[in-house]
Amino acid sequence: MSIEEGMLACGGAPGQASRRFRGAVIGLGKMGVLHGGILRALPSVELCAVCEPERTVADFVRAFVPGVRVYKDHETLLREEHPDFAFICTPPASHVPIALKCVEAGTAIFIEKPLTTDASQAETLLDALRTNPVTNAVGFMKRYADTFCRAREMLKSGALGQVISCEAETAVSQLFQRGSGWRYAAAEAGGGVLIGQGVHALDLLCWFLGMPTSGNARLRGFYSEGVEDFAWALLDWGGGTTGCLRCSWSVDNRRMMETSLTLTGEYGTLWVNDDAVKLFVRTSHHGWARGWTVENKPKLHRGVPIDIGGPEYTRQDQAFVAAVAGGEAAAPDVKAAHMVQRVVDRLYESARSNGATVAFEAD
Amino acid sequence: MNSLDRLILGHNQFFGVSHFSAERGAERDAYFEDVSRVLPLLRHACSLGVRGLMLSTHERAARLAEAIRTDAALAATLHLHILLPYMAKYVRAANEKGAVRMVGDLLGQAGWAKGIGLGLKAGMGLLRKDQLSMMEALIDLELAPFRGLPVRSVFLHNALTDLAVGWGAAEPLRAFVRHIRERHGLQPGFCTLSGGAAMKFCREAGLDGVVFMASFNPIGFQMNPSREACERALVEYGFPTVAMSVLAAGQIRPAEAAAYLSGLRGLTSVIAGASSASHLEETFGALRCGLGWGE
Repeated sequence: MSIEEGMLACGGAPGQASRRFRGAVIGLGKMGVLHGGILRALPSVELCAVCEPERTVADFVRAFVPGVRVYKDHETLLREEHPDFAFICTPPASHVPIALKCVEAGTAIFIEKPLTTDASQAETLLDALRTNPVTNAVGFMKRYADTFCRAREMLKSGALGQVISCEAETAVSQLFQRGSGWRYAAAEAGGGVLIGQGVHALDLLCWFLGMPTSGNARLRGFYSEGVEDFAWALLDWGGGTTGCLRCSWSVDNRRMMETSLTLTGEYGTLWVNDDAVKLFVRTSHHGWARGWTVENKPKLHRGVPIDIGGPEYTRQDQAFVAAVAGGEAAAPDVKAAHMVQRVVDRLYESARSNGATVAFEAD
Repeated sequence: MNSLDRLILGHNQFFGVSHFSAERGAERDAYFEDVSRVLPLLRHACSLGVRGLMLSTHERAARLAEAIRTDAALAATLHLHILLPYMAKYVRAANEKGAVRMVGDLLGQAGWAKGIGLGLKAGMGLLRKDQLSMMEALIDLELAPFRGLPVRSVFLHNALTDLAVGWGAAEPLRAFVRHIRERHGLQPGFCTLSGGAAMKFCREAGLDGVVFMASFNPIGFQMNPSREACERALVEYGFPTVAMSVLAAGQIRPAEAAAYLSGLRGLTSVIAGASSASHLEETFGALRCGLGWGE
């Protein structure tokens, strides 16, 4: 089955799917619950099992969701269910150990972002995938959001010419006192807002422009101890492109997490966020007329079978299941996420060295 | 059973929600921080034949409810429709302290509210892990600020409706309907961004007597899986339905929206937002005229 056929099978109305793929969700926190709801609504998926040690959530599934078995540990789930794929939605420190068990069992893996707490941990997973190749993906769902997809198309069409400068930001009014839980524990999360949220913007930058070659970072904790609530990074791509990344979960008046990019190039400027994409071209070129092109979310909307947290999550899950169906590579895969993780690791290293410039080695 | 109002004023603009741009939402959030700025708009909406006001359980809604309570004319004219819970508050709280602790803290709040008769139920819910009892206690906590006001219906937020539909969990939806109807004597409803799937699911689950609030606009914004499928679902499953996102976050002129909506069969009501007197006049004037819903 081609990936296009797979997409059709996974996105269409019930009855269109040629085969149902058995899936499991490991970890029923906010993201696991979201993916479980989407997957169970896809006609090509049979959500056969979930794994969650915490009783309140597990009991809810036991009580109200027919046909889904509940496990306390992922090894028993894999041994008894042999799912075609598993969504790993546990805190980041446990992603790789669980993924290794899945790969060993021949189960395709979708790992929530961030991939892991440090890149070296992910290298064992890359090795395992070389030995036992299974379809694999990491949950950078912004790549499936209409506005960011459209902005990348504009960039790749040459609308900006050479990119000179870029600015990326994630911001949300989330934390104004000491937080609790794994998100604020470096050992479990790998860091604070940079790896937890800023990584979305960093992934978009890598997707738009490729991996930067060097950079430096400064971090600041204020409400949190041991992890950063604010992060700033300067990034360089070589060849004349320089940019910055800024992220915080402790800023005012941002009801939901907002992600935005501004790219300035030799022919104009491209602005994109979750709501709209705006291109300004100084002179007509490559089929782009001088002036503004503005496209916003309502007009870019494409329907999905079910919308729980935003259509981008559904589209991302459909694409993954389609890749499993077609035996194809999914995007972004563990390799791409590992590249982002290496940049994150090095930025933390830079911050520990008072903002010293660090190099990001490519493969 | 209370019926739905035909024309309902939406609340997003009062609480900083904008599907057009977060920046615009934040600007309006700052402007309407002073709830006295909302009241003249509500009076004007009433004068235009709007009888319903949707309110999310945002913290500002309690202040607004209080302001309406003290305005005899408004309280006598305007019916409230509640959308619960205010999801952004819970998403942030879950991110701040984890979902499980967040629920525990909320139940603690319900316990604190013993004076209004919520505490015992929440305590039992926690003790027995009685999920539905816990859910009912949380609903009561959300509805508490609106007690004594002319509330007509209570809608479950689309994120929770669509989550339950996705998981195929009919019982929590059934319990919501039962609780709103029997305990509060109000019309239960489901807000959804997945009109096709949600209406099909509820009809097949035998959830009768509920109303829907779902997106309907000529460009298909937030109409999932597609505009055509949502239009078919409206007719096929026959739920009384409030059309929302009718202006597609400002992409559609009110007259164009009204022309589209007038061609739909099975629509009961329309909800739209407006943040100024002229905006109210343009939007609800066009809707009343185009839909033939004038008084």
